[in-house]
Amino acid sequence: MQGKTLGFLVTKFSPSVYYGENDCPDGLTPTTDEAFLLTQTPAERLRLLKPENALEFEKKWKTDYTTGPNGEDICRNPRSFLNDDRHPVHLTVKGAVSHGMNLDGTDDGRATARSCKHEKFRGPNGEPGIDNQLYRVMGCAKNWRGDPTNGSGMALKYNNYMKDGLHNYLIEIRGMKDPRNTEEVEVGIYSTEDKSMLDGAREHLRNQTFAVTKNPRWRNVTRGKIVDGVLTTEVIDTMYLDWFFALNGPFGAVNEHEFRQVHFRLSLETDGTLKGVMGAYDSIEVQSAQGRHGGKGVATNGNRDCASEYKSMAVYADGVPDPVTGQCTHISLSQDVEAVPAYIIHPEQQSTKVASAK
Amino acid sequence: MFAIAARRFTLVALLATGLCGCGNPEPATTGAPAGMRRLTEEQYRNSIADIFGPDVKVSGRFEPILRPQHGLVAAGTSQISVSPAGFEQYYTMANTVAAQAMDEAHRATMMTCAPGPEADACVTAFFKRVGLVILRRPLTDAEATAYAAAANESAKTAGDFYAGVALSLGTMLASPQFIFEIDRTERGPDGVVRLDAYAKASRLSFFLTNSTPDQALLDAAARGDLHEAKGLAKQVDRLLASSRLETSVRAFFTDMFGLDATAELVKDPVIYPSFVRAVKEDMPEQTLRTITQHVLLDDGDYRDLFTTRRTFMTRPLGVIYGVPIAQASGWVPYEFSRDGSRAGLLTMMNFLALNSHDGRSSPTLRGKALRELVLCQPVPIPPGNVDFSLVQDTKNKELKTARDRVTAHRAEPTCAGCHKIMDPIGLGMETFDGVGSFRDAENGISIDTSGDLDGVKFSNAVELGKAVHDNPATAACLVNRMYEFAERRPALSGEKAWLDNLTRIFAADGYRVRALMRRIAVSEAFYKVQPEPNTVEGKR
Repeated sequence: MQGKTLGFLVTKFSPSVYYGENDCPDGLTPTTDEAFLLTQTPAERLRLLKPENALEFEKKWKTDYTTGPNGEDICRNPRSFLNDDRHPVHLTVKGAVSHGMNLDGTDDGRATARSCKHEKFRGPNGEPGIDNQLYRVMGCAKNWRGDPTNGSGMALKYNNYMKDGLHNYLIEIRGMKDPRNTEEVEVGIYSTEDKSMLDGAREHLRNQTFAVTKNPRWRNVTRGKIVDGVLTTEVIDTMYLDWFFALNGPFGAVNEHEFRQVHFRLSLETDGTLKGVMGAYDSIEVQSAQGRHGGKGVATNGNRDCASEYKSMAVYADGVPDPVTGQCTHISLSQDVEAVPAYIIHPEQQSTKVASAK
Repeated sequence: MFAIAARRFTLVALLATGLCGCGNPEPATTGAPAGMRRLTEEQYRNSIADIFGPDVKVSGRFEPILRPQHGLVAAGTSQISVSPAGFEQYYTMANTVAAQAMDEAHRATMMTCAPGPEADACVTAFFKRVGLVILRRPLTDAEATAYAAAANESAKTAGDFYAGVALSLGTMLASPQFIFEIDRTERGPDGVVRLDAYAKASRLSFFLTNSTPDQALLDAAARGDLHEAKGLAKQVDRLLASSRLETSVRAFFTDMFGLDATAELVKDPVIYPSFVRAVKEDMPEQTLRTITQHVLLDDGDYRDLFTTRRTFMTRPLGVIYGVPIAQASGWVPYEFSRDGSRAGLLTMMNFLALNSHDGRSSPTLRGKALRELVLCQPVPIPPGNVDFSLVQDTKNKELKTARDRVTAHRAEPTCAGCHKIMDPIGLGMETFDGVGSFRDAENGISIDTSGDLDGVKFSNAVELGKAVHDNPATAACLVNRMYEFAERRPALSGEKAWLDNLTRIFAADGYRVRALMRRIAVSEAFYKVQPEPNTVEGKR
């Protein structure tokens, strides 16, 4: 394409959290020990909370409550807890506003060929039809939500993964004639195996060079347009990106995002960075695995009830219906996206001599 | 590639001899009094690696060698001794090295002696052999016997034959005769005092390899070849063709351009977040690779270092230069674009970052460095009561660019004299910030990089590099610095005519650094000592 090419290293790619005043009127979702106590009678709760019964309490919630009838690990095999009423669906976000995009094209969340019936949010600027069921399910979980000052703990964790070089993503805008308005650009979203260099404050350096991944599955291309400095992409039906966990066992196999119906809305900032959101559906298997990849320790040390999380995502899943059961397998989400300028080398350029410098 | 470069050099040298009539005797010099020079840390490490093998570790701290004002660190080696604390370090390092040399993994490569009735003779022979390479001169029989006797005594105390040898070997390595290169003199056949053959070998070796003489050079010394022009030239050409020459060339340019200061360089991480460790580590290597490729492998004109667009890059450096680097790790050749803002050493980040402040660029420091390091034109030290507040105020509402600020600073009569020789040329590099990244504006004002170098006008850093290339002082400075590096002392007034002549020959040789090193290495001036009685002579 004729026009300028801009490369970016994604520095933030984590769930968007909107901090509304009355988002969680019922309180925050119980942690694992709290959820366990809620399964007990009031008298038994008081007894277990006495200091002399601390060991018994710990054994019950860390062992009995987090182990399935056949010895299943609550985080490695949350499916086996789907019918276990001791692990309830999360307390959900009751606020009406969320970040995100309209993925199903409806304003009311009615069922379509690609979505299940669900409730919609309004955007922070009042735009209707926002889909973000992941936020609805997880937005009242303490660790996931965080607070307005420090942000989401989960987002911090996810973005640190990129700083640690577990996985990194690139965005390339090609054919840009004017950074404020260009009718048509090509947009590449790629994984890269190259690690990012960080400055002394652990921020990604600008103007680094990254090679596009050798795995063609993790290379995604779409088109878009720039209006008033905001890039909006056409829908990518399925977008795979590397998602690396250095794990053994079943979760080691969950090594990529599988986003569906992907939309980007990114602002080209005057300081050369990109800022915006990505709206998409992600597989509940992948999404839930991100929280529970550490196994049972996530439920005990991390105090997150993996069974409840999985069950909640399954209940609120709104995308990609199973053709047989009609049950949706994916959940809508919004990811905050930020990116800094970078140079992107494509596989065919790996041996090309580049000679341009200021 | 070295062989090709060496052949090319020979041809150039022959042509140059014919062109300049260099068959004439070289101008006489006075020479310097015989002296002694402390080995630099690099020379010490290189020597240990050459003698005992590269896997023998040298662990310890070396006392710094102070850079004389307007001189090379190399010249500082002749002006420094060893403090008691410094000697403790040498002593510890010596014994650590000796212990490694005599451990099971290494001793077979050094010595075949074993405990038993033949041990004394064998150990004496060992010390005679190893003493030659460590002390860079033959040991007398009495010396070798003394070292062997000490080893024997130590072995009895330690209850270990090899530990005894190691202790005696450590004593030799801790000797000032190893730590210092000593000018030993003798009277030649004409009765004139001269360096003896082994002292010549040392001087030549430290100049061309930055290390102790190898066996071939010691053998040549033993045969007396180094006192003969033909024999000396043969050894010089052998060393010039060796890959070891690069070690010396790197040491020279590190010293000349003050690259050793890179290790202590600090930048404000808030202002320059990209100045990370990987960048800092690659910075001097980029300069040295550029230099060695140009002056050794390509046998290029030294002055072209200030105009060349060819260099090397790594991914971390690409961040500072704002260029994509396809290769994920290691070094790649790189060429700046013809219409770009960079060409030559003055536009590379090492020079730019080293000669800037922690949080801002500095036309003054850059101009000073260019004058002193490249043109050998010392700039006087500023008075102690200078008010720098104006030049430091980078957010000044009225003086928005460095040009504005230093121009205002120069309005002070006490400052103007020196600043007018530094600032106008330093401002030519103002399109590069304090770490060497390109910028075309400061505080929203377009940067003016025009100026003149000794009457030659330039409009930007690339043209400044061309002006430096063409400035006669550039080549003359290199010649003077190379001689200072070779002699490891500043040039003397009695050597001026010789150096002027050498500068003319350098030009006739096409400004080739290898050819210059050869001219020095085969010259009489390089080895000349003043004919005063020498206290070391005859006291081995």
